[in-house]
Amino acid sequence: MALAKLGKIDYRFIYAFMTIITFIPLIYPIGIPTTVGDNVKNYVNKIETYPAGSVALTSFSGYITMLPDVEPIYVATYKLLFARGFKVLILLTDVDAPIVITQVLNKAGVDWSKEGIDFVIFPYMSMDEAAHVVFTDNIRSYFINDWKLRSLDNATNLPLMQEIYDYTDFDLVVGSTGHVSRYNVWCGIDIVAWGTGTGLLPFVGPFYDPINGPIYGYVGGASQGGELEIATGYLGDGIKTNDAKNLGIITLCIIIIIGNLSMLGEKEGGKE
Amino acid sequence: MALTIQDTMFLFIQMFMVACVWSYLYKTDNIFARGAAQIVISISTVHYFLNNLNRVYLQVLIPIMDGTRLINIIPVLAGVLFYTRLWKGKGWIASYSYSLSLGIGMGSLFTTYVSTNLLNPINRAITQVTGATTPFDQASALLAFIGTLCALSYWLFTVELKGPTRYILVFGRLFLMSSIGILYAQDVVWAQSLFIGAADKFLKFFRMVLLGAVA
Amino acid sequence: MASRNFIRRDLPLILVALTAFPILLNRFVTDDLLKNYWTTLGSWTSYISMIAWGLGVIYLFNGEYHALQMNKDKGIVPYLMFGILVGFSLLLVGMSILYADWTTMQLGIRHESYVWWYNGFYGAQSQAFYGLMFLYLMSASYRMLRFRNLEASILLLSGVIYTLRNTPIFNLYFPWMMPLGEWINNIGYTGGYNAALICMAFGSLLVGCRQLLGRERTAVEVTA
Repeated sequence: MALAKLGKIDYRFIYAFMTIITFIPLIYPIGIPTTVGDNVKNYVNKIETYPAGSVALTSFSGYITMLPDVEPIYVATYKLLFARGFKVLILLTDVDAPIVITQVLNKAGVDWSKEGIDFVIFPYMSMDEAAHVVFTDNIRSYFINDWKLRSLDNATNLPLMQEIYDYTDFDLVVGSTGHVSRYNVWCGIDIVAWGTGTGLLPFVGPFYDPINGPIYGYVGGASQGGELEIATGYLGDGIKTNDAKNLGIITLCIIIIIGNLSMLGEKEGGKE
Repeated sequence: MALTIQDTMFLFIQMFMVACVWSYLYKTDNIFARGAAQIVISISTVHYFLNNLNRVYLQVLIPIMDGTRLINIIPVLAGVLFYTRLWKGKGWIASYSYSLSLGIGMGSLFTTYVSTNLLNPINRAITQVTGATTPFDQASALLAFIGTLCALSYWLFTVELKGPTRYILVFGRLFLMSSIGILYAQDVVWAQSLFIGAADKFLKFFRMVLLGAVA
Repeated sequence: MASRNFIRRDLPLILVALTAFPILLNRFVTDDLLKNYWTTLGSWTSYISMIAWGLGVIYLFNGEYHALQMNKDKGIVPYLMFGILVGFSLLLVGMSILYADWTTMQLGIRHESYVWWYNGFYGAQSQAFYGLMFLYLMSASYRMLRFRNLEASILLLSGVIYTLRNTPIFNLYFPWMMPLGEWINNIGYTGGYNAALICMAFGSLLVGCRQLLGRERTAVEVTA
């Protein structure tokens, strides 16, 4: 009977307890070490296989609400891409993206004077299935200029774009949602995937194959963002919140165990 | 480095807005939570509207005005026709806008979506088995393949199976449960990140403004 | 009457097919005309959806206004909320105009003051809103994730193991947790999700065929 009482915990108690558990490590960090998963290792390894000067298209959704979950991934990835000498194209697919990309690239320590030479940012556009296909077929039929309204054909401001016209000029796509698999299915481009826990992970499974692709590696959510920071050596916000995540999940396990014990108690009570 | 008045205000607003949202947990219908909800709705709606307006002007209207892409008049007209829904009896005109969008979407759906979401998963389920190198990988891939077939049977054939064949559906359901479990886990981990992000912003005000800590 | 039906119902359906077929054909026939047709039309959906966004804004304010009319007896709170909605909206529009760059005709939506406002009032609290789900999921886990039967047990185990795979401390002390979590994701999850994906594609294909053949009126028919 005592066990059955465990099933009567008030939901407000759970809320308050979880909030306190989250606060403690944010105030007093513990510093628990992290290990790196295979999907994250494959993500980094795939990027590192390309020679300097390769062109990477990054599909950047940059939804401001999801930043705590995905910002560590963005920052570490851009640091890695620029460190490896990639020429980076940035596609802004969410309305928040023009604001967020500035913050992310600043955190990644990007040299803004290299804009147009090492990287190009396209203006925000609400892109659906058809738009992505048109973009890959002919960039200039979709975008006339970059996000600062400079013509894509302007060789002075955007020399990088003078070598890039369609998907045949991309070497790698770093994308955020299910649509990126189309880049491979249609265009045969290699893909590594990034995104939030819910925006990427549910969709990536059927396309992930570290040897044959189309998606060769993926990083989804802040936990894996922390793993990416360790794998790349660029430590940041992902690793800082690890303690809070650990304690939260330990508490979740305890809550589930209590729930099951109460069910056991109810069954025993029923028999009596 | 001392905080500027703008930084202090910024941290206070963030802390206050998070507190307003969390007040929802204590009492669902309170003025702080409702006010916060209205601000979120208002800001996101107007922000989307302004961004789209600006993009339409720069990407669509300017090329019409300078004569480089006069054909853009058609999508502009189609977009504007959507607003006929606001007039009673004239809403049917918006059907043409729907048709145009739908036709374009349908054309690309048949070519890309189907090959990606239909042919690719089938191809993957088979090649995973044939391409596996170790016995463990082969067994795993075979299990996934059988699971896919059983789950497909569960979705597609809604007749009740009896006798030994019912285990196909049972097995398919187990695979679907496994998928749902993982979806649930992904949601937990994702929501936790956002909760920690909000908690961090809440604490930041006290840490940086009241205790003078450095970011 | 017949011509009225043709213009209001049949012609929009014909337009769907007329627009879609050349795009479809473009994937099977190499022809510059078809390619130009496709690359021109492909961008239009983005343009149309961006222009139509204002309709959503109108509906939103209209809905709020009508809700206010219906709640006349409930005190000052609804008025206050509507005031907040209108006030913040106007403020943002005003800021975007005030900080606009008129030489390039860019609204001030990337100006630092606008971004400050947007981040301060929207960023943190939208994260807090979604973050609430974590507490709800905790409460749901307590009530739902139980070893009731085989199916519920599979759901519990796959969910918990994958959660633990994403938790650094468990991977450190139980190194087998990570490969096990990934195995469940790659095999257990993919098996079920593949089926869902294929079924969705079948469904889309079916609806698409019906639309192209003019059998699915609901998608384009507007009665108002």
